[in-house]
Amino acid sequence: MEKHLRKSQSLYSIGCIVFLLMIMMISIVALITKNIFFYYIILCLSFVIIIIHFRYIQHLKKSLLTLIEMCQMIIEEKAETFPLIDGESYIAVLSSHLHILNIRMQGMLERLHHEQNQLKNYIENISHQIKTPLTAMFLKEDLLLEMTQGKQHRIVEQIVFQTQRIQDCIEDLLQLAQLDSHSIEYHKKDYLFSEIIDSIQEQLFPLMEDNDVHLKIQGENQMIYCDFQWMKEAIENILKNCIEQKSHSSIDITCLEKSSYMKIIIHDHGDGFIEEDIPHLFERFYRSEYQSHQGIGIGLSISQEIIQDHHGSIYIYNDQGAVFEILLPQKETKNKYTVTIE
Amino acid sequence: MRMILIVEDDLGIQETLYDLLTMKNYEVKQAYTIKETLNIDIHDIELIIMDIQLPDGNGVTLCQQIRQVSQVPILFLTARTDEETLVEALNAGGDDYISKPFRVNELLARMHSISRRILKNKDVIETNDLYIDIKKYHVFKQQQEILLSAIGYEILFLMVQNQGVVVTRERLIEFIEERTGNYIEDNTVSVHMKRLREKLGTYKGMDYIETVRGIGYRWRSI
Repeated sequence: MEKHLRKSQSLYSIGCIVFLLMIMMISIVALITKNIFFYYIILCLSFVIIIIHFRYIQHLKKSLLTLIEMCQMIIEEKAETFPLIDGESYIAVLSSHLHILNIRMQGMLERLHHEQNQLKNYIENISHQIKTPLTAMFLKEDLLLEMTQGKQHRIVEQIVFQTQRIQDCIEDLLQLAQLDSHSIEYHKKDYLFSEIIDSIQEQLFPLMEDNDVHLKIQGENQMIYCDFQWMKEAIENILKNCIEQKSHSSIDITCLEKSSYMKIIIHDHGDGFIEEDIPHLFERFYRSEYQSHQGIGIGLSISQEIIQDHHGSIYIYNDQGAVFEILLPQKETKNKYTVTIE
Repeated sequence: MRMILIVEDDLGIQETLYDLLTMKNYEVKQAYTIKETLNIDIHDIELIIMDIQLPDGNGVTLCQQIRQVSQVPILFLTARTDEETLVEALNAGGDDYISKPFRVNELLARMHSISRRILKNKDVIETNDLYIDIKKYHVFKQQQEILLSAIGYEILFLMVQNQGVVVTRERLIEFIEERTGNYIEDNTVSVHMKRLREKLGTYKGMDYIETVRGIGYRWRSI
């Protein structure tokens, strides 16, 4: 029946008109002759029209359902058996267009994956190329430190400091590159909030000691669903930012459970942000004109991207110091661009 | 731990590591490729420091090959920080890894940590010209047995298992108190050390145990 759908469309239209004309004519005859027989005929004809009408609608519905199924398959990227509608009807044409659309999309996705993979390989390559001379530099500096004294020794120490700056820069840039290529494989699991914070404290211990800053932690027993390494990185960047704000103070870090998400609040007791800076803080390479800062200005940008990759969000405002609010969903949601392994 | 093999293709890193480790009295052998490494007799080597990325292959594969014939400790140098590579490296039989770039002190710390782990598991330790059987409480110096007091053996084993690292006075005090059940004075440690030195004698004109002023003592590998 599908094959002749187009023909049947015109057939249907013609048939409807014919029937209506017949009904009109018989109604007129019936009115004139007032014969019951003709009324019965009108009734029958109306019946027939209604039945044909319904059959036709069912027909269209079936074809539309097939089209919807095709669209569903395109959305879910299941390319396998694609039901085609034969024929020359409008619906058949639509179905063949959808088919072509599907093929195009598959092609684009394949190319995207390929490019992402290439980018990932480039990054790994460059990473290795840069880390090798850096390693040699550090080692030779260590050698010089052993071999020199006095003024020369001090100069070598300064060189080490600068080399360290380069290393920090490179690490930040490499992370950004990884995030941009969307080729990171996140390994997400439930982790104790305290586990994450302890790990960060270990890492930041020297920095915290130097600045005489300590953390006040609340909500240690809360569970966070995330990739440990990357979430640690995100929170660490924020904490580094806070530690550098004010020495000899404390930073409050709290983890709360809300209805369908987790909230992490980081609050320092420094002077807070400068209002003009706030809209730009997550911009890459943004450096405040009003505050002097070490670093190239991508720590917060990286944190934001990591949190967004976790389908969360981050807000900043002032409240007797700077406040960072991180919202993270409790359940995982499906997303095409980040691969999650559990 | 005296003889170390460094497998690394970058000249800058190889040369500097050679200089640094030789300064610390290690004997260093060098290899730049997997092929070169396989031509070396592994049995004299006490530690291999190996880069994961080598010009003619993967360090992890090399590790697997080495593990078929030897349990020599392997410390990986890696530019990669992803979990998979590290897990793969450790599963292949690697003992530890250190990420590039690193400072020499970090490297030394990890080397000592591996060495301590190995020595803890060893029943017999040979150091300098001494043959020490920890299980049987025998100490031989050039075929001659040296007899020590009970606590003397314990202290000797502690020092030797921590060779290369300073054992603090505090730790020694705790150690001796635990084993003798008595409270001791600061001076007692010095007395024990003096007795030990007398019994052991010297090697190449030097004491086996070096005093590190104000901190503690260290076993010398000469």
